[in-house]
Amino acid sequence: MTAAEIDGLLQALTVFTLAILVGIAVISKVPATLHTPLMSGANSIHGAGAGS
Amino acid sequence: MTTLEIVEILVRIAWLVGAVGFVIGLSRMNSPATARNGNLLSAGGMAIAIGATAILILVRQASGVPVAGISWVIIVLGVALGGGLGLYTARTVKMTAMPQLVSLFNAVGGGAAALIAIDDYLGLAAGSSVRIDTHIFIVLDIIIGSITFTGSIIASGKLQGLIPGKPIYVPGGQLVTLALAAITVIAALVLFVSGTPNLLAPTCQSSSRC
Repeated sequence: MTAAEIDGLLQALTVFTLAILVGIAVISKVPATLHTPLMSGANSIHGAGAGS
Repeated sequence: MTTLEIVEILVRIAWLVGAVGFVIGLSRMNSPATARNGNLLSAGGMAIAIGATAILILVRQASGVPVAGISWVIIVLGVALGGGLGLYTARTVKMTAMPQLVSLFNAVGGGAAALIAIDDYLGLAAGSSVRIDTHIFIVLDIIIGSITFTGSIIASGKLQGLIPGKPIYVPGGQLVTLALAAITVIAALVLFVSGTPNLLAPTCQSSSRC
């Protein structure tokens, strides 16, 4: 593994870890009645992530 | 900096703005009073991301990066078919059937992510060697996308009543799951060591690595 590859992995790990925390913080207070639109919104993020 | 480089930076910033729109939009789902507004915000983020990507492709083409005519056909057809069907079903579905529709949309999103990751890998492998960090993300994307696809289809089927709601036990189910997980990991390692997906050799005739 080159230094650039390790750097890339660490950067991605940092973003991934912070994203998990943000994700939990954002959705933990959503009431059950809004779970369907929440799923719908979260799904669109998946699509945008795949596109880029 | 060339125009293309400047546009690439601006597009990345636009993607970031879109992502921020998504996160704030989702956090506004906290209460029904702000949920509509949040949904609009998420949709706005999506519009920005799609618009920026379209601009990026156009500027790349204008700067001499070849974009095959068939690519435009696929993009326009994909947007028209996917967007059209999504709009039609979302508008006409009964509210009580909404959860299974969202689940089906989720499945399609996962499947698309897996296909795009496979395409990314083929593109990179045809060029030069694939960096290990890129390799890991692509493999994870394929695994997560595929599991999202199959899992969400089953969830949708259960919600629609097409599949019995009670848990389905396959004889030796845990062993099967374990074996599948092992095969996935081994396949990822083989792919990394060999560097080229040999099964797909006919599709990479132009590559020196095939």
